[in-house]
Amino acid sequence: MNTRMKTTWPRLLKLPGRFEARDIAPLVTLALLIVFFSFAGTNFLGPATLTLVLQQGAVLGIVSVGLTYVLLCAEIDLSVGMMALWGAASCGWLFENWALGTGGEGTASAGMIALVILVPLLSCLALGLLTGVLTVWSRLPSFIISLAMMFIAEGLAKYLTQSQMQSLPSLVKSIGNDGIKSENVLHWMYSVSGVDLPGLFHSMGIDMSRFWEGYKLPFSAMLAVVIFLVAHLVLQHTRFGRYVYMTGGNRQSARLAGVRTGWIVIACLAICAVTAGLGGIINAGRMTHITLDQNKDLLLSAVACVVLGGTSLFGGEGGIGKTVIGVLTFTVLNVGLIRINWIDDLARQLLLGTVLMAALVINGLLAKER
Amino acid sequence: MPTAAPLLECRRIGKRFGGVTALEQVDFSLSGGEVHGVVGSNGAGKSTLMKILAGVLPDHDGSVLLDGRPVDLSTPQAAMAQGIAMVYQELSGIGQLSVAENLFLGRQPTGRFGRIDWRTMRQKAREHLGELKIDVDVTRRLDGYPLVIRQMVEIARGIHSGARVLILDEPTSALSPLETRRLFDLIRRLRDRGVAVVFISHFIEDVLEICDRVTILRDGRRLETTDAARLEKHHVIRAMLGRELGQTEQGYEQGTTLPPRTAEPPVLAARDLGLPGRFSEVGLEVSPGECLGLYGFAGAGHQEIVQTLAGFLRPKHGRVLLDGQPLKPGSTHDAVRKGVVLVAADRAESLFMRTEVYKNVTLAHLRRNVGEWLTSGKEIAASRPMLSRVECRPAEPRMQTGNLSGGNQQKIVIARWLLGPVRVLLLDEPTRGMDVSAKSEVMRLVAELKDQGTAVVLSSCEPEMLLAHADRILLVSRGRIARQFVGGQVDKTELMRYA
Repeated sequence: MNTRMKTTWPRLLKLPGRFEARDIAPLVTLALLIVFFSFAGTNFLGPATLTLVLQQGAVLGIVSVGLTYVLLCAEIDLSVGMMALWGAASCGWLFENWALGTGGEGTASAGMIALVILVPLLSCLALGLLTGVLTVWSRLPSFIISLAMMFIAEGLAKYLTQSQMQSLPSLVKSIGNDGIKSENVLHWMYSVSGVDLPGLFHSMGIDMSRFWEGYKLPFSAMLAVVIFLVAHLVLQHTRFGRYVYMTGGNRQSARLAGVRTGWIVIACLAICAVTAGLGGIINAGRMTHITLDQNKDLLLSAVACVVLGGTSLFGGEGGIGKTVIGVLTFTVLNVGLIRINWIDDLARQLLLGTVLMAALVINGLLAKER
Repeated sequence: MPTAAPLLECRRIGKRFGGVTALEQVDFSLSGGEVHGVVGSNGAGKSTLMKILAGVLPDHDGSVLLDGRPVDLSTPQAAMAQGIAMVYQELSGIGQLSVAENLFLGRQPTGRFGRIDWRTMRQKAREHLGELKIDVDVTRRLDGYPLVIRQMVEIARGIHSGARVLILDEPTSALSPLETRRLFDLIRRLRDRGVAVVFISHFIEDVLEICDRVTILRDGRRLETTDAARLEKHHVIRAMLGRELGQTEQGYEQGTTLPPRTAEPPVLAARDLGLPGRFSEVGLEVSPGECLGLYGFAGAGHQEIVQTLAGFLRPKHGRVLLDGQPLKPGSTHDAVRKGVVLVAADRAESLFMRTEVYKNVTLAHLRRNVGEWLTSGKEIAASRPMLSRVECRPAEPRMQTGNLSGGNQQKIVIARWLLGPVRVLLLDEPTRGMDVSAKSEVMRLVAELKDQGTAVVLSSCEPEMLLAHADRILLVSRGRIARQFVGGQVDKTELMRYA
């Protein structure tokens, strides 16, 4: 008599190569959400939505990159939300109180603007290093240390700005808000090659303007993609990246193999703080001003994205590609719910939570099928 | 004495892991009141068979019958519900809880409102353990007791929850002879109560002593099942391996003559090393091409000494010197970089079981062998020569490391170190849980390295291992170096007398 285990439904899925059901699950979730919202929401597939998704996704994505590194080493950084706030606040403060002086933006040189962006990032790096060093040295869980850092960062931001709204360099605002417009692309194509696509289609009697007018590829998204690429390549193809996976996969084994796990943890926490700060600055750019209630939900959103994408909270498994899918899924969900006009804000929050829980559970179940 | 009808019957059991066949058409039967030994080489299938019985591997061919009826073994809980209890090589049991709590784990007696009835629990624990003649204070924490007691409490827990089949996986590998006696007394008592015991072990002598019948597995097939009384150790080993043991391996039963102390200056030295609670005032030296043995019973501290030499543990006092220069205490990175490497007892601590073999092999010396930019192609190419050098079977770099047998996993650890300088090879129970042929393969690798000038420090609680391989033996007892054996006759009894 044969006692073969009952096949569960993911096993019926025969996928090419090394992919298993659990790798595909987040993609499927994303696809389903897009399909759902394109029917349920008003104007979901339009240019405004796409731009919003890309902009929000860029900020969330950049922060999630750092968090991915931290989660991969089986640690956590609870301070990302407040670190983002600190990044933005210190940038704004430097801009207003140092770069501008009395003259207004015209008097600020390019070098000053660069510093106004770089110095906050360096301060985030310092704070991240501090979190890391304390975590390793005290042997306390990173949960505890980063929790304390969360309060510190928030306090620093509030203290520095004295709870006042700050403004930002227009470069930052531009990164946060602007992008490459589709119309500009078409003009450029025409001026370079003489090809006039809209005119071509027009002469055939087809009006394609709905498909390529009004679309914008945000600069923040482009920056995010560059960061994704670099982060991914480092994780997959450098020694540092390999050490990160091993430190999270099995701390003791990594030590036995001669990996300096302490430094790896410190490095990851530092990276996370910097990406958080950068995300905060860009987000503030998108809002065009800095206020203290920004980034409140960033921590949990970022963690949700990373986990949704398939990176394990216990370390050693996951990656940037997975995180990107998680970010897209979460952002599509968020934006999609906004586009559904007939739900009010309170119900929106509830729905977001419910769908998120369902997606996490399903992904989790599939991850167990080995 | 075994009762007539078999209690447990396995028919044509088969199991494959990917392309590797672990078990093929294995028939196995067990009667109540019988102690049945299962022996076999590395990869012979012993652990796989037992995992199937314990409900850990539900996806297999063949059937299992209990009392003549097929049973559901799809989860460990299902197996336990059927009365099959397994006590693993790596102990479970929760150290922070008391003996009584461990005995009743998950089945605490409750009173009103679901509150745990502590008094009844303690009372019943005392009764049960008393019946089995296990003499402990049930209120003490489990981790306050030595290994053999913890094992016996685990066994008692299984019996108490109604197990009729008890599977013991390598129960004596970390026990001293005295502790083994106690364990055997308990097993005999269980046998007299009608429990069926499966005794899996590499220690043929133990198997022949305690078991009524013995099944020999080889390459996933059952070779024979015979009464233990009619078996001799040589026969068993020959059947397991398919060949006669080499003369050298047999010789160490009687003892050996250690060579005189080498004149070469030492490469690694420890001065006044101390770690509170583990060992103190440890000084030792080892020279290139020499094998220094550290012998002691489990818990003597020799394991921790070796781990400290490797930089894995940070000593409170003392220094470790390589070529006269101190190594950074507590830094495995410094040690590995300079060629002081450790092969640990627990493979799960050395290797990443869920990662591919090639990643495990390249990890320690990535820059040297693969460069700054890692690609799977380069890594696999770097790892292949080492895999064949250590004769890892199967030599498939893309395999998941956890799917290899214990002996091959240990070879992977050695392969990893071979990708870089190996000036001092530290071995901590390197062949624990491995059978005769895998043991000899691993130690042959060690001997090759020794001949090439590596200094070897071998820590073990098996006297035969040290007699066979060490040039000089230090006896570690209660955290101190008690005695040194060099240049003369020494045998097992000598070693054990002073331990």
